[in-house]
Amino acid sequence: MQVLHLDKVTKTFGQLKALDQVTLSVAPGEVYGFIGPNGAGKTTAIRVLMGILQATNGRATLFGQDAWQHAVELHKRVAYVPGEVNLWPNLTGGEVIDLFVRLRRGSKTRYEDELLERFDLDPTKKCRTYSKGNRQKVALVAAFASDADLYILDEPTSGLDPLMEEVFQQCVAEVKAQGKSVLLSSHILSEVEKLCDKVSIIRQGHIIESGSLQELRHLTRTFVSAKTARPVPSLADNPHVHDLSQQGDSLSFSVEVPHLGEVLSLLHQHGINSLECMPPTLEQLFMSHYEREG
Amino acid sequence: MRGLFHGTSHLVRFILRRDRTRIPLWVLGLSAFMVALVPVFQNLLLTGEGNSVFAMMMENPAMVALVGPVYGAANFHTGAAYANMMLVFCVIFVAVMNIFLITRHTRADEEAGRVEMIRSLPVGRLASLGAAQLTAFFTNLLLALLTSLGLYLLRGTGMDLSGCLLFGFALFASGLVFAGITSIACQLTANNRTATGLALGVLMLMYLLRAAGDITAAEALSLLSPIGLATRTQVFVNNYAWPVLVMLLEAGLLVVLSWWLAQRRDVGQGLIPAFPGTRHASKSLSTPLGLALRLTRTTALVWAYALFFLAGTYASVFGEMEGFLNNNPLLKAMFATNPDFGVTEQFISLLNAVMIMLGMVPILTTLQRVVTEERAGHAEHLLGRSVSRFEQLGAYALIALVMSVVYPLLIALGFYVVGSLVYPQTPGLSTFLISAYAYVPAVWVFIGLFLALAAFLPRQVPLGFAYLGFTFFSIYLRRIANLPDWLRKLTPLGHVPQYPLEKISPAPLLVLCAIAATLTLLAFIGYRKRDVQTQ
Repeated sequence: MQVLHLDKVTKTFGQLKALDQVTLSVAPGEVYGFIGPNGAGKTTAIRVLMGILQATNGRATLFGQDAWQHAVELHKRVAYVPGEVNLWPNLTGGEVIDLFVRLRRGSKTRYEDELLERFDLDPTKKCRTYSKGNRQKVALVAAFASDADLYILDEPTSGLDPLMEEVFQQCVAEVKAQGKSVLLSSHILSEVEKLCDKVSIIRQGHIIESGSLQELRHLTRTFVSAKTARPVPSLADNPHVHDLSQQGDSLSFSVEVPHLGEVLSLLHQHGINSLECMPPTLEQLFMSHYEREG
Repeated sequence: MRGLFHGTSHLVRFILRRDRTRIPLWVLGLSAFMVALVPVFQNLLLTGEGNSVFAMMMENPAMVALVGPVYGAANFHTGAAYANMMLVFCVIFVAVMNIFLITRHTRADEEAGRVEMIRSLPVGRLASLGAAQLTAFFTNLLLALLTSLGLYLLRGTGMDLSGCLLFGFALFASGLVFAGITSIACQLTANNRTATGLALGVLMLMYLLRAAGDITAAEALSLLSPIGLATRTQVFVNNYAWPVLVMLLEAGLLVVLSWWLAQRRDVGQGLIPAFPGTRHASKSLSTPLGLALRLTRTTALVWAYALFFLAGTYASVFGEMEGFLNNNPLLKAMFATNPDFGVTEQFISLLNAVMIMLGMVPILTTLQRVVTEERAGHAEHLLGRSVSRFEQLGAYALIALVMSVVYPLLIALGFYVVGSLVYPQTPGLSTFLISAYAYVPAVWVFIGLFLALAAFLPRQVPLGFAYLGFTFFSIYLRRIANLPDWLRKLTPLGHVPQYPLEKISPAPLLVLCAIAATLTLLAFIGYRKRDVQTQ
């Protein structure tokens, strides 16, 4: 059974189609990356999953149950951090965390104090004095302090400094180690790359690519830079080689991944002095999708 | 010393640019309000016997506590009455304007990190504070001149040029005192909200000091307060200028003190460190209702006190009202036409209607929170946890319901307790209670309406307030404007029996209850079916 499943979910706001036939599933124990630029529909999809918005068409389920109908019951097993964390200005951070943990009505908080220390958050301050990063920390502490089966995190690190991002990544790794599932929406690709088993890319309400990072990398090109003993004239004619530049004995180009072997053997015939192959980063993956779609 | 204020004039221009609509709105709005009421006083105060009765009414200790001492009662002309009724409130408005003007351009800018940017430029350390104070000076001056001119143009009996100028400059000087007080509050506290709160607290204290000084033998207390000092000008009666000079001196000392203090603190800090808040939530903060209570309790309690005291203030003049109305045929024709009942009894239902409508303001803003909490992104935290729509809507509905039942009790008690102290012929408590509680079903219709708006038309909740405005017009102002009676039938309050003039008939009240129940039921069904409003 899937922990989380969107089945051809469409959501319209008046004329605007925010989600168009979005399908996505997260299996138990999986950390799932949900990436796309601002306004692509990540937050809308998550709000449908949280029963905050109702799908116009299609079905959203958590643990096999309808996300809208059974929201209250289901949320006992889910920890959620919204994309824009707005808190009550005249409550302290500590009060908000307590309130959040109590409202989940799930099992009791286990290491709230430890989390506060790790995230370096002063819970005695009023929320009005918190920066965006600190408000996010409040939501993250409340989320990770709860014993949930599924963590739905909507761009949780957009206000955190690099040190705190590190702490966040540790927390995700810890819940993953406990066999919990995580849906992590982000536009910080290095983070998704580091944490996620699987990725879906969303753009203008459509899922344009899904799969493991390995699978997605097959769709793109590997970047090669090399020095050869003799020039390689036939490289320019190879249909699988792109962006070629040659300066003296150094070459750089990108090559379609399925044809990497045959191109390398071509280089080998001309005597390789140095060779560097770089797998595509998620950034490149992302950009190439955008270019292709125009 | 010069280096400390380097760049002040540039910053003043910058403030004027940022506030190019705000300052004119304050100045024009306040002066227009003050000036526009002069003809109202002139028309209501017919010469002769009525004026001395009016002066007598104003000399009642409750009224003195509210608006200040009466001067020139022997010849209570328009000017004397106007100064008596208006000056204290005008000073309060001007003080509020100054408090917001100073905090906005000092502490609020500091909190937003804007002062840091300014300080990185070649400007003096006191330039930001000085620029805010200089802007306040010019704003108050403009307000004083416009008000003086306007008062003189529309002048009523007894309002000569020197009086009009003195009225304006009493506002000017008291405004500067509050600008100074706020400047100091901004140095003491560590953030904008506490600074504003402290300054408003001092304003309230000054009002209370004046009230205490005015009704007791300890008049010195009034002289400690700028509000009290302003009334001591006895403007339009004796036109004393010395209180203005005293206030100007005080303002100067306060401003210099604020400069001295400002140099003894760091940017972003206050001389009094911020207190840490509580680490853990109390037991009550565990449910949606607990949270809703926490968010609304202050407003609910402040309004509860205010309604009780306002009812008491009305009641304090029950005795004089009879005489006053008998001497003012215009008002008598408007409010007291039934010869079978005493003036007070004829007034009870209308007074209750006014108080109930006032009390609806906090009730309806509580219900509006259902939507504002969604818009602010707060409701998402609750509904994303194990909280049902029913609990969320129910929390605010329940608080509104409790307020709607408690406020009429406080209103009736306010009328009865104070009324029976000052006027032996005050009707019994049950009369006030029945008259006030007769309005509760109509209030419930409004509660049902607001719940339904929140459920079905969340963007249109302000329409509900427009309907309350119309209700106030059709119930109360309609009488003054002499418009047809059927207008009041367009609002739930118009169907409430006017006890004790009319008997309580259950039919209209039951219909109102049924409408309220239907709207509420629909709201609870509809709220489960709609998307949460997001930014």
